[in-house]
Amino acid sequence: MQASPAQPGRRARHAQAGAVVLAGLLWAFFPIPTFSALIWAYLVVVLALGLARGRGHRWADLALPWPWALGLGLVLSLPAAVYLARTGRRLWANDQLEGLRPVLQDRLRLTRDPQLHPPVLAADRPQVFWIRAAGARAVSVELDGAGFDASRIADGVFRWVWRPGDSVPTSEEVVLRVDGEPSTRALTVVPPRARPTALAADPEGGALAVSEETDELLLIGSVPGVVERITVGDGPLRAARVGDAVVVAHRGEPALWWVEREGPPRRIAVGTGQRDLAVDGDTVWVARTGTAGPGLLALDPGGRRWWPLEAEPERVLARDGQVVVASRVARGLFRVAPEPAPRLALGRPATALAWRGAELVAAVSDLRPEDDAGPNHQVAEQLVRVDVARWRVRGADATAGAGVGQLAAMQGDLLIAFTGSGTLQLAEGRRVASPIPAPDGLVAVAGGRYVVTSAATGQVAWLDREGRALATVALGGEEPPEIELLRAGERAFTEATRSGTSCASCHPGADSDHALHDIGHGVPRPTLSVRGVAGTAPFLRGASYPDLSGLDHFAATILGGYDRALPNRAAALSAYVLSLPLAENPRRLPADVEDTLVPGYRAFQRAGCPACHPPPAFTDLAQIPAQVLFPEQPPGVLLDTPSLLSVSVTAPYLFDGRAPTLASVFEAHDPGERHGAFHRLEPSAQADLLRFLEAL
Amino acid sequence: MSGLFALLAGGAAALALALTADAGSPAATLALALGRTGWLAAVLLVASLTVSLVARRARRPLGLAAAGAAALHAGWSVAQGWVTPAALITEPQLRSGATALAILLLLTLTSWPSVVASLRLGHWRPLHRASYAAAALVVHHVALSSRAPLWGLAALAGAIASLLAIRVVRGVRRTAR
Repeated sequence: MQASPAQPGRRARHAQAGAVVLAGLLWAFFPIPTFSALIWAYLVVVLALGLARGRGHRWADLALPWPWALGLGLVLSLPAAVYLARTGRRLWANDQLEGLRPVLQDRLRLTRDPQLHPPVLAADRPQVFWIRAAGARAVSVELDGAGFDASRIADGVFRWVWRPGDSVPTSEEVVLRVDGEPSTRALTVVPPRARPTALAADPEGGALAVSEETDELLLIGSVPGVVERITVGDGPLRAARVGDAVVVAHRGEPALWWVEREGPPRRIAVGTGQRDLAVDGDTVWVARTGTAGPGLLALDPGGRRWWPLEAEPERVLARDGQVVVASRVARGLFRVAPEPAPRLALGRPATALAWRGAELVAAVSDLRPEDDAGPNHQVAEQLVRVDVARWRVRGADATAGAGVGQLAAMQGDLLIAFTGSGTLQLAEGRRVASPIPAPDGLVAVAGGRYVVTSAATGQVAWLDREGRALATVALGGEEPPEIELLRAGERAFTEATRSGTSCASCHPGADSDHALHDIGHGVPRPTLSVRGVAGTAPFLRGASYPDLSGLDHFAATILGGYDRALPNRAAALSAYVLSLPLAENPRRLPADVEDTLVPGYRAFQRAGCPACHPPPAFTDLAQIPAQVLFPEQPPGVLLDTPSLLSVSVTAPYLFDGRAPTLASVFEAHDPGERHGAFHRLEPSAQADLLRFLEAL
Repeated sequence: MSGLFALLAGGAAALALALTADAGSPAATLALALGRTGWLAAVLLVASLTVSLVARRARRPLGLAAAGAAALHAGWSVAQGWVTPAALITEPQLRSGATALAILLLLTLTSWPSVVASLRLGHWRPLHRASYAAAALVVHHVALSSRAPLWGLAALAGAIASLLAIRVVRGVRRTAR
């Protein structure tokens, strides 16, 4: 090769350009596209050229006449250009640049001072927000022109309880007034939407349901198209008929409402923390939770009786003197009457229950009486037959659809709404496609008809005996696009993939099934709640998802994908999950809770907890090697610091569920005092700290 | 000898910062120690690049000190179980950090004329331009670090972008002359 008559500086630049071209050529053959690989290729080329030059090989100067250099450079650049064009998106993803924006956005949001968390306000229910305002003496909050004082918990740490008023906030911003100085922060307001739930046959011929977010009792007629909507208390959970009246339990109201045809409803005080109700003859059974502990309240003409329960109840069923409680956190059933019986383990929560003849039938995503984890993302939905008298599982049958939303019995037949597959099982085993998507309620009504409801879409439909659609009513009417997106997201959340699994299989009610699952690597992990995750990217225990759209990709690939194309599925799913408020914590709202928060936060600080769980989100959104907290773990396993908000309702604890209670996190599973300085606190401060965590 | 001193001084300063870290809990303390050592290395690297624009003689000790601090930062993270060898390839954040460290160590080697001569390495100066690639990788490494303060990330990215811009403008002017 003939050297060009260029000056030394220019020659060096030519050689540099040549090295870059050769590095690009080498890079184009790397199997995994990353930017680091390009730099490694450059280093290899420069070193190789340098060594060749040092040994007297003049070709390593890359000195060519410029037309040759230009032509050869262009030709040799082609593979790198093609490689870049083919792998551009993967390159971006492999270097985690794709997911950087949402993660940095959430970190930036929490860095700003003052700041509040969570960044979502579900307008239908009371909510607690934590505010960090460094050095502030007083903080007030303005939303839609209304002002609220925040309670001071510690220096720079405040708490604001929002309670729904007569109108739904419309502003997407909140003003934090810190010692009089205003700071505007974004707050996503999720308006209430009509979601018919807890469908039950009404002995008068029609059906009863409630819409929790819009505070409505729904009297659904047996005549197609007839729905009477009656406003009741805050957060109705279930309605049942007692004589001429309909009794309604509420999530946010300390009373049962007795709604009669004539006159105003009567209120019967039973306290807050209602979870469900059942009627058996004259007796109304109310499942409750709260600061006094979980229990079952029986109201009958003779007075009241109270049964404490071992675990938080979710459903109560009563018939002919038999009373059974289903608990999601306990993943099993408890018999209360005729004789109390210990937990009947199912391994997974019962998602639907119905009496059929002498037995109780429970839908379970994967019956595991030994409470073991099971294979990766295993869903083998079954109808478990429980002999209530002998208190044992009699057997289990596979289902004919996916995602049982509701069970109802009809003269020995089971009526089943399959939310996941969008199908219905009617009397005599007749199976039909649901006229409305994501059906999660199905009962028989007078006239040989059926009523179907869908919480996700807000619809009620009537079917004839053969399963033909007669009428459909959309309770929400014409809705704005943002509500339609949330409805599409909820529908996507419940929709089963071809493997039979949906998001709701392990996250019933968008919450945790409190079970252990082997989600790869052979390590059982407790299911996370997906509630209240807005503003806390990245997601999952290993922080492997920078945004939620990755979960849709997971469902579309690993879980087999969907039969039905849903436009904008990933965006809808993401919008729905990010709109969910925190998992409900009954210990968070009582008025006297603030007495425990001040000493509790002091103990929280003394134990060093804010180093990784700082307010207002009670997470620093960072990751830590598992080995730092748990020395027996292999190196390199990263754990995402979880938020402590609602932590008291997310048992079991720690990354592998080894701690059944909050106290055991420190007392039994932190012998080396690696998880904060709990052991260095005096017993009263330890108790304060635990009460604080329970009230978050 | 002065080069070796700078290298060891960088490592010793990083070690001192790591050993004096105390954030109340082992997890937070380890994170603080790693953060301190990493930031020391990044600041020394930026200082070295900045100085090279005005006073080339000071560039070498600062660059060597940066390499020493970076090596301590990497060694500390491996010793404490934060990093596994496999993760250096599979985890983008660690891959960037490891590549940047490799560049700095390579530049360290070529800082001694005796080493260059014994390797019979001609034409090694282009390697030193890779220090900007190392700086870019450090920005990527910090951006993916969940604990790095965002103001620090912004300052680091801004400083390195500015230095690179100055370098490019100078190069273009020199070519035009």
